[in-house]
Amino acid sequence: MPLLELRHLSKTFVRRGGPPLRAVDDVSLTVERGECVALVGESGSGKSTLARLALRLIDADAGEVLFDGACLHAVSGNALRQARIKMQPVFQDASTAFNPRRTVRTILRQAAVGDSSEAHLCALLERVELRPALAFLARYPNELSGGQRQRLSIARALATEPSLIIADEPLSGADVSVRAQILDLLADLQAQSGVSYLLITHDILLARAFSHRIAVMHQGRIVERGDTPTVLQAPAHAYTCRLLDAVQSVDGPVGDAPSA
Amino acid sequence: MTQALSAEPLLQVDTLQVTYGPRDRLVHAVRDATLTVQHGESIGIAGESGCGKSTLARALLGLLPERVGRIAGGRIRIAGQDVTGFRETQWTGLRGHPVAMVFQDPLSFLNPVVRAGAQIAESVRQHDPDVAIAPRCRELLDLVKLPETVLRQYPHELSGGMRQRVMLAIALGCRPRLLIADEPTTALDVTTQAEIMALLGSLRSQLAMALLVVSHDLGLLRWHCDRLYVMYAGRTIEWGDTATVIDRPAHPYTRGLIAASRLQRGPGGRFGALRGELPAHEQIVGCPFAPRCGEAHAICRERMPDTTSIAPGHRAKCWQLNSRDASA
Amino acid sequence: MPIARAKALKWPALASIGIIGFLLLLTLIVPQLLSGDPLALTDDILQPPSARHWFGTDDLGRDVLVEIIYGTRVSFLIGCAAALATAVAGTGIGSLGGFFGGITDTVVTRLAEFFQVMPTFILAVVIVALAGPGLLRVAAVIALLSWPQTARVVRGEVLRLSRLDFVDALRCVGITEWRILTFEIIPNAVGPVFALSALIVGNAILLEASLSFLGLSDPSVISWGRLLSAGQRFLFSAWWLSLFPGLAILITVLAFNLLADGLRDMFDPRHTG
Repeated sequence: MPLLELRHLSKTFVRRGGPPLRAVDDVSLTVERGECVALVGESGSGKSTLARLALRLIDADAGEVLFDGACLHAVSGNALRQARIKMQPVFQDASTAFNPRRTVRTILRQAAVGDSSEAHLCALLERVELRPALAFLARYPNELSGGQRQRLSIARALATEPSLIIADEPLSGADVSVRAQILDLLADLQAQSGVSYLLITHDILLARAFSHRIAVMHQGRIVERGDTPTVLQAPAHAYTCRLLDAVQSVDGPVGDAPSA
Repeated sequence: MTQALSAEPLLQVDTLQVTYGPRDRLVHAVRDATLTVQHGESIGIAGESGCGKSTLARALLGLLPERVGRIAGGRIRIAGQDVTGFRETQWTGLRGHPVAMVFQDPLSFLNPVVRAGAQIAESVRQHDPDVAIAPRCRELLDLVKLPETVLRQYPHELSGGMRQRVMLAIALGCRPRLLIADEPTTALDVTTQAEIMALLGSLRSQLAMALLVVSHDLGLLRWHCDRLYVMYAGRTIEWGDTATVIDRPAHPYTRGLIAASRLQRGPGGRFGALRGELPAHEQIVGCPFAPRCGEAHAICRERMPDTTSIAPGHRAKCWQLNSRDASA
Repeated sequence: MPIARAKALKWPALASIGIIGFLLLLTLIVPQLLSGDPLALTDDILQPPSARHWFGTDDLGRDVLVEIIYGTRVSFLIGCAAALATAVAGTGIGSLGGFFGGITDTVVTRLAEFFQVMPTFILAVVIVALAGPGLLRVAAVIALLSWPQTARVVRGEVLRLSRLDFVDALRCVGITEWRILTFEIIPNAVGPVFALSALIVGNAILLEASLSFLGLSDPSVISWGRLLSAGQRFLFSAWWLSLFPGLAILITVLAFNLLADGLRDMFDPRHTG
């Protein structure tokens, strides 16, 4: 049984003065335990909407979300909160990911399920390499650097001991050198605790670095999916080819050189 | 490229220092930047946030915030003319021609209540008073590969890529000899980024224009720049031919940065080769990278390294180079 | 964190705090210091300002300065009551609309519009004429008509804050919607309410003065408006009866307006320290 199963999800947004926007159009996706699935697409592809549908932060027009066997649509209120607690988000914009008036201590304590002792909070910070932990507990989020805020985001997600982390552009907002460090952190966490990832990103290099399977999203639909190495080496869909062509990596284009 | 390397570089920056803020709380955004741009060349400035590259780009056109930012030392020469001490009135004669600039976020730099065509026309009127405006605008749109309908549209009606092209058209209306692009594609989608950079490349050869691109994206710079400068903590710490710097980086920071940009596991199975982050209050004495450097010796913490020549045109500031490379 | 932003206050705001503090002190301390009944009728009728009566006396021999100080109490009472009621009502209603959206928001917005278009002064006159005078009644009228402005501002802030990622993060860790609204969102949204409240104090004082000027307030209570009304008859012969109450109103309302500016600067995230 897959850890996360998205079945035929659809979501349409009503727009004033324009046609309705089909953000997500009949999308199905699974994430197995212990794996990392990358959902790759550009802005407007619907990937962030899909993440919110999976977390049931917004309600889908059609389709189901099953997490660890439980159908999230059949429950609401307290039952929903219980069912979804093992699925945690890490958001893109670390500057809006925290209540600016709360200290790190409060932020982590709110998230820590069961054990909200000082020792546990320090342990969480240690896991994401925010040291010295005690000093960080007293700080406010806007006193931290971009990389540190991203680590805090991850620490908060870890507080509930999740089995799935849905990370929306976890490396954006961090400097180049810090990105690699955070990627190491995510890899270590997976090795230690077997947490699964649904990685949402526009960065093919990130998907290549870190995912087992990849799904390419374009205008609300998944246009191609499969094992990451296979899809990247032999893309089938035209959009995937375009994406790969556009990537400019230090070593060379992942696809062919682009034209104007 | 019609102009060969002439004796006088188009842009020459020597040991530039830029500071921000009141004198009791000075922030040294740029501590020691040296760079040269020849006519028709394409130069990249690479670095992370806090390295001073954007400040440097703005200083080149006198765009530092009034009263808060100032050039504290060094010299800038544009086409042989010393512009370091220029006042605002003197800068207006230089901006656009011979040096123009495009920025990261076109939405904030384009006037939202004026149509794109009018903004391009304004640039033409300013710098090319004798030419017929409407045909010249159409010519510029053609150069940036935009349809004529864009002339009548407002910035918010255009996509990110189209807005960036409009900004390019405005810049090109000034017939610049040097175009400075500060993070020109950061706000854009991946596919659009590639298109814009390719456009810049073709414009460069079409118009015999020099290009100075400031970016944190090494991958982008690798494919579009002849020469590369790497900045750290307000200093240019390594520079040379792009291919040389990327394939045979000399400075430990450059090596770590390139490895990190790849997002591939290194020999140790790790993605990241650089520890820590740029400290908020950098040490004033010695090499600024020493706290993070795996090869730091005592001398690195005591004195700022001199410039070592590694190969013709390839230089870096690191004490450890003499022991490693056979240099001239 | 707001304490750090207090350093951003410029001199007009600081001056206004000084003035208000001084007036507050006056109302609390001076009545205790004066012996006897300072409002007793004396024989010093219509005396111009002198060393003995700094602001002169009125037609019943009462010291004008003393009357003004008593009037300060009334003004503060009505101002603060109105501001408090407005702040509570406006914040509560506005945040409900901004957070829950949908029907709730529609109801809130329409209600706010309805109350906002009603002419304050006329309504106040009507209510007082029908229900009789009374300080708290007047305060209630002001709150009833001022809450929409506060509600709008709070609704906007809450709307913006509700869309931020941290709210979703809190939902995912199991915090209920009501807790999120009350403890996480509203504290971040109330910044502008302080500035608005200061303005409302000023408005309340003006409204009360207008009502009592027209004789619609409690005759047994001394207020600045009533003093102005009484001084009308002697406008040219005993100018001090009109000037000093008028100045009191002017300075106090101005002080609260400047305070409002200062509070706005303090809480406005665009103003860095």
